[in-house]
Formats: sequence, structure tokens, C-alpha cells
Amino acid sequence: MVIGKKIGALFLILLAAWALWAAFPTRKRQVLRTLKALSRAVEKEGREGDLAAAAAARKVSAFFAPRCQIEAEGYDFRAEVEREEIARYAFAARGRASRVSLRVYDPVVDFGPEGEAKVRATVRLEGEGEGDGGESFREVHEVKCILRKGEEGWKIEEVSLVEVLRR
Amino acid sequence: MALDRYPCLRAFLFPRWTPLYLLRVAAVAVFSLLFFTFVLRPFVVRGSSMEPTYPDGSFHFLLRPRYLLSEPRRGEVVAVRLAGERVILLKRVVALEGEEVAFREGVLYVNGRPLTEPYVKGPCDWELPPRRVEPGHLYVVGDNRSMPLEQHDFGQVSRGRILGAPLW
Repeated sequence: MVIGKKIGALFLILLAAWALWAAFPTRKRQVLRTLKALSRAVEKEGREGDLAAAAAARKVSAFFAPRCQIEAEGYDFRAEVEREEIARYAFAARGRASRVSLRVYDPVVDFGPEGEAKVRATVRLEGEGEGDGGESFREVHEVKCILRKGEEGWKIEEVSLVEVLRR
Repeated sequence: MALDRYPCLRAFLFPRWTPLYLLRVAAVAVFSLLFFTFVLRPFVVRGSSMEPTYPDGSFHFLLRPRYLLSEPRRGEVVAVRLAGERVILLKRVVALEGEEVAFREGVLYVNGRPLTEPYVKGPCDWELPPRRVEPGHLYVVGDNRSMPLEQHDFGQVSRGRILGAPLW
């Protein structure tokens, strides 16, 4: 009986510790959770109506700051895009693919002096084009992102593709 | 029971859970974890850029200490790491630092001379103006030159990103 009580107490302590850990995530875990949630938002499996695609695209764009800097080393591309543009692009991209998945590997998070989070990670975007003969695509890139915490949580302010292989 | 006649076999197949046995199991587990993380890392090829040498979906081992005491040489296949080590690019070294690389009508030229590449099987029509490999870099290309040049990831990579080489 005493052993049963001890096990019960231990279980309660572990449960409380887990609840605390889940309820008060560190800044690093908040950023990692944001990236994980972005991966889930990008995910698409099977057919999707226009309304659902628009909602999903808006959800994806909500992970970005109202104005986001996008840069691709090696392509000489640098642009500042608005959240609406990201939503439009995500909507168009979802319409062209029957399956999309985004995976983030090995994220390393550093915090800057102004509270921004600098993330370096490998991302893999893969999927299949719409239709029976839809061509599959797979893109793997090393990326650097800057996220900043606002009232709506962590938002991506800058994304840049790192040029690992330079032609 | 037949196993009763072979006590060694019985002890091997149905060991007694003694502290020594558990210690051995733990030691094997730790050794395996370290060995298959830092020495021989298993990986599966995704994509067609190294076909036909490394087909999509094939299983291999990455020998991580391959370049601890030596440098990658031309013709060797190397693993290039990205941000971490979970995703790697498999490419072939075609030129070393200081060398000049170019593609003319699908033929790879290094320092102005065509390179014999028996591992390239399909047709190739790539065109790339000459460029010099920077110090501390290697020029790597995949074996599948049948795919369009724009869709193929290749170029010079920092030596520090070379993680090792596939075992076979």
C-alpha cells in the first residue's frame, strides 16, 4: 500500500513537471514549435477545394511578418514581400500540387541582442504535381531565418537560402 | 528438449538476466550507437542526381572518418553536409582547388582538358563557361548528367562541408 502511494506520488510529480514543461516553453522551444507548426500548415495530401486551399495558404502566410525579406544567395534574388503576397503564392502553389510536405532538419537557434531568433536549418520541400502524370519535385536547401516575437507570437522576418554549392 | 543437450546454445539463445549480461547488453547498445553515428552512418539515397551509380532509394553507409587523414581526390564520391548532418548531398569530386572547370557540349573540361568519366552513362548537353575553384574548395557534380543543368545541384563546396564518403 505504501509502495502504491509512493508510485502514485512519483507519477503526480512527473505529471506536474511535464505540465510545467509544456505550459512554459523556453524561447528556443517556442521557435522550434513555430517551425514545426509551419511544416504542418504547408502539408497537403490529396485533393483540396479552393476554399480550403485559400484557408491553408492564409494559415501559412500567418507565420510570416507583415513584410518579410526573402533572399537567395547565388540567384541574386532579394525581395521584400508582403504577407498577402506569400498567401497568394502559397495558394497558387497548392493548386499546382497534389501532395506537398515540408520538413525542417537540424535547426540551430541563436538569440540576437534585440531578442530576434536566428535559425539555421536544412529544409526539404517535396511533393507531386496535380493530375495523374504529376511530376514529383524535391528541393533541399540550407536556410537562415530571422524570427521576432510580437503580440501574435514568433513571426518570420527574413528567410535566406544559403548557397552550399556555388557554380 | 533438444536444447538441453547444447547448454552453450541454450545460454546464447535464452540467456539469464544477470547483472553482467545486462551490462554487456548496455555496452553493445552504446558501442553500436557511437559506431553507427560517428563511424558508419546508414543513409538512404533520395533523388536521381547520382544515378546510375547511386539509384534513388538505395541503402548505403557513410564512412565518416574517410578524410580524417587524407584529402578528397578527383573521381571520389563525397557526402556534403547542409545545416546539420541529417540531410547530406552525395556528389562526385571532379576538380580540386585552383583548377579550372567547364562544360562544353556535355563534356567536362578540367584545366582545358576533357575528363574521362566512365561513371556518366546518359547523354549530356551541358554548357558552362570556365570557372576556377577557390582555395579550400572542391568542385562536385552528380553522375546523372541527363537531367537539365538547371535542375542539377553542383558547384564548388567548402572542404569543411565534406562529411565523409560512402562505403561502397
